[in-house]
Amino acid sequence: MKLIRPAYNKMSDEELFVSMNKGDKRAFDELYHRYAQPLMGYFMRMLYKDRELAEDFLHDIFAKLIKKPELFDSSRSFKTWVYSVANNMCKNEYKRREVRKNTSSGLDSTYNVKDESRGVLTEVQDRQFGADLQRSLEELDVKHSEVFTMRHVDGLSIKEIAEILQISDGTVKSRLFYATKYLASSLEHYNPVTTR
Amino acid sequence: MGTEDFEYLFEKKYSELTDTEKAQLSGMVDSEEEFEGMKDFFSRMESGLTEFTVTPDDAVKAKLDDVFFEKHPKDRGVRLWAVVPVLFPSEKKLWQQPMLRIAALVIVALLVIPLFRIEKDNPVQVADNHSENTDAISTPMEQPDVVNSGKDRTKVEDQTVLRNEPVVNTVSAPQRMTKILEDVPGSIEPEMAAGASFAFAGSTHPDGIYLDEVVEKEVSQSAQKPVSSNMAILDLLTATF
Repeated sequence: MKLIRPAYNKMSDEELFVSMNKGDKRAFDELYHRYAQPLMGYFMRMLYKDRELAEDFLHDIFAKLIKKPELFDSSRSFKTWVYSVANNMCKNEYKRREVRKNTSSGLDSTYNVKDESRGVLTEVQDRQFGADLQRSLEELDVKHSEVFTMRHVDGLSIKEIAEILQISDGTVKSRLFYATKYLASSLEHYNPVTTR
Repeated sequence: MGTEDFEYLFEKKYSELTDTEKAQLSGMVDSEEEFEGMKDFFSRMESGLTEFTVTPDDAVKAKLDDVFFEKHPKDRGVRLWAVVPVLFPSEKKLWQQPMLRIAALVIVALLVIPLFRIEKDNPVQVADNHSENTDAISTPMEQPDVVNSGKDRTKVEDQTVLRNEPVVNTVSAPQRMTKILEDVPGSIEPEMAAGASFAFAGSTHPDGIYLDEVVEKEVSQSAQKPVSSNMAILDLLTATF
């Protein structure tokens, strides 16, 4: 029985994972706290904004972590590994359905506005921009959109994305370049400089 | 296509870009206007994407907790460190921590309680010291009380001490009784005196108590004569009690 509670928020993902598999519930809670929201967002984007499906996938991925910890390759970082698993789960789902996208449109009702102090106009513009960005991302093929979202939404580095998708850094950069160019041109009407 | 780490280039001004860097961005931006447009796109995208987050339902976590406890059932119970945040809440100042307050109360209690004990213990100690000396002069009437609990015993002994305080006598009770009987001239039948003496002499108890049947019989036979026939015996009783 531990007398002093470890500082979970300062522990690395890998340390938390090890503690979790020794039965430390607080380690599991911290790991969930760190990854539940990003992974939920990832699944939402990758799985046609199907919230229910995304929650099922989120449950499944954490259940895998709990039940089969041996699947984790300790030579890799936990973050890239867990995203790799998430990515594979989505690929399997694509294969299973053979359907790619557009089961719903518009902003999901569960999106939460974080900063309520900001101006209403700015908020509306940002939300509108976000919605259009999502729409444009859906128009892109998966290989480009996933790289873009991993980079700009999940905050992964190019190296991490390469590791997750098992492609070279150069390919990631190339896809990122293409996706950025496409999105910028499709959302050009938001640009006050070019629309003058 | 020059795509090597192109994102950081948008942190610069267009005028600061080298020819190599401009070449890297060719195909995406070919003029300063397009460069500024792309910078604007990045800043909007940052705010646009961070405007919304997707929070999973609490039911997902609850289900996962069940999965966790299936795998690690021993950890469902309360761990000791789970109490720590309650006893040492981080939001409270040091002197407001509940555990420190409890510890302070315990220390005060430990310091105060012995003071009360010392006050109570002192009289008992004196009584115990006296009782060692007065055991020999306890009377048979007092004896049953002494058999009781230690507290009662202390009480009885205390009373005995008060009653017999001035008496410092090392002579045992049988010896004293024999002496008294001998001192009464012609006031008692010889058999009675002999019986009493025998009774006390036959007792090994310091107070002269002897429950043997033979001795009791002899004493009762000696005492069959009425007291009125010999008034001096009453003086003996007075002297005894």
